[in-house]
Amino acid sequence: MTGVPLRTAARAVALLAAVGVAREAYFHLVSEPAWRLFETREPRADERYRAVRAVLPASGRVGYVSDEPVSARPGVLESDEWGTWMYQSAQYALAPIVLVVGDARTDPVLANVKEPERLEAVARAHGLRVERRFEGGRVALLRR
Amino acid sequence: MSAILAAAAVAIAAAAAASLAPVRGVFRAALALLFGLGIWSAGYCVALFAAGADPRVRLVKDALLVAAGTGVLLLRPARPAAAQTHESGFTRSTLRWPAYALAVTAVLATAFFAEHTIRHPDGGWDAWAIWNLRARFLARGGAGFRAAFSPELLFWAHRDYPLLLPGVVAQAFLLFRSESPWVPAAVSYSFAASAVALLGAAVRELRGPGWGALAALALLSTPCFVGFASNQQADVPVGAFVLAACSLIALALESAQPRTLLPAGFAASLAAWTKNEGALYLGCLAAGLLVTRWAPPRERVRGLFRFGLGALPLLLLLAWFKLRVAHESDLFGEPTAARLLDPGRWGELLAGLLRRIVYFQDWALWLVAGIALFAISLLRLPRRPAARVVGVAIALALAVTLAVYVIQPHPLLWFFRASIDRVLIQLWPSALLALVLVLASQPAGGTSPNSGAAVDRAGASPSPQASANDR
Repeated sequence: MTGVPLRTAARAVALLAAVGVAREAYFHLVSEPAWRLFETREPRADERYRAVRAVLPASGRVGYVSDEPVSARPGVLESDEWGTWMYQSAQYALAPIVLVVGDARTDPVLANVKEPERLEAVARAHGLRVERRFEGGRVALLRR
Repeated sequence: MSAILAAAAVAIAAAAAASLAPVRGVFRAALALLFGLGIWSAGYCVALFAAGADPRVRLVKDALLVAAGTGVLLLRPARPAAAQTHESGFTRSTLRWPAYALAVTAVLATAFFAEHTIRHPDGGWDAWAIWNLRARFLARGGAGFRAAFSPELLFWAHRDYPLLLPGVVAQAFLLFRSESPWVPAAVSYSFAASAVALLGAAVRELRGPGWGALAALALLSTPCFVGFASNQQADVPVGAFVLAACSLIALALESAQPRTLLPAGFAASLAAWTKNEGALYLGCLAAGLLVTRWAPPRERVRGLFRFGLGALPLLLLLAWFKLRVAHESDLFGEPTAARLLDPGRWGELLAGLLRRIVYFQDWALWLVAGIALFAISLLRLPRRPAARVVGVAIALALAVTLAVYVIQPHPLLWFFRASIDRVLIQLWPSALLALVLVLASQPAGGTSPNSGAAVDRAGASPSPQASANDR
């Protein structure tokens, strides 16, 4: 046998391709229906941090504190990744500022919290006060 | 002005680099796009680190690319008269529906891509946490662009990853003076489209038009291919560059044009400059060229030399980047032999791998079918050298990847589930190429109608390839 006939291969590929495309169509029509695209569209990270970006320095180091733990060491994962996701999305929105997790010695410090009612406690825990709130208190600038 | 110069730099560098490969038509166009974007990005990174982020530096860099590309195009030796493609050696295909099916699938895939991009404009986690983050640092940072590699960034940002993709996106941000999410999306779409076009064209060149359309259709109907492309992740570009390297290796071996190994090495080095795994694939392709008996040992060493020569410029850049800028990797921070020798970890990994093969959401039935066909063809079909080189390289790459999974410090199954589909999609286009090279008969009278002339020009012996192709 020197090879598989083209027609035989074509029949197999047709079947496999039909299944593959059907799977993709299922995802776009049933799992995430395309006609509900604009209702279910995710807010961009930039929107959450747009206001605070305007008052932060253009570059340099800025301390970062949160009410959610951040997985900061390879191999050591926190119980959920919400804190890590919040940190990474803030870093993405605010680059080229470098957000330094847990550093409360910079001026200012960025607070990024899941629950706005925990903001004051987060600030106090680091010996800081809330200077300005954004996004309903989920993002804030802290100072000594 | 700067946009026109940048477009000229990409186009001329692309044409110059692609002219080193003896191919035409869509094959050449897809190669040219990949080479052009890669050279433009690598040139940007060299200029950035050597001369800084001043816009005039980018202008001079693009002018130099135009000049160098023009020089190569003017000074290159006359090409073999290979304009008539290898198709003359094939039985004319009467199957038309694969081409129509491919066109319909391409339209659907484009719609899926656009819908996913509107829904997730910043792409998937890797896109915004690594690639587009780095592009933002480079584009926004000005003279402070080195903040992109600050050790104070968390390991999730993978500051050790090379810069091909962020280099393209950052330059596009600067040229358009906009960070619209459609910029990285367009870059990602270009790489995905190039991969599909390249696979179809390379298989068409090597096995005939019917097989080319089938191979492209297989890649495009793999569910996670479109998903990863619309997530703007670097795995699709890596896959495209590895495919380019494998296609050129196959062409070099089957048409006895060993000089084609030079652009093959260059393509593999572009994969290495895209993502760390690319360096592994480059090494595996080099090993495949050396250990597979496609020619006498001396020819193989000479072929390996050509491959390495093509890869050398970007490997030097990569070595400098790794030694001077980004030398820490979260995967190898605390490697231990104990992990590697732990049978429990291997068992966990293999169980995860078996489950992944039947992971319908990402692969539909493609992985199962591919593995089954490979197993059958290993037993029943002739062992063709080009397929063997690519197959050995893929097998080696997978073996090393599994060892990396075992020794890395993250929770094993968490890390495996988060990354294995991306590893597989990097290799999937090349695996499809290898599969078709095994399954489809070669054209009567050798692959290339002009192989004799090409071999004479290359100064190589035609005998090893000509006789080995169906051994």
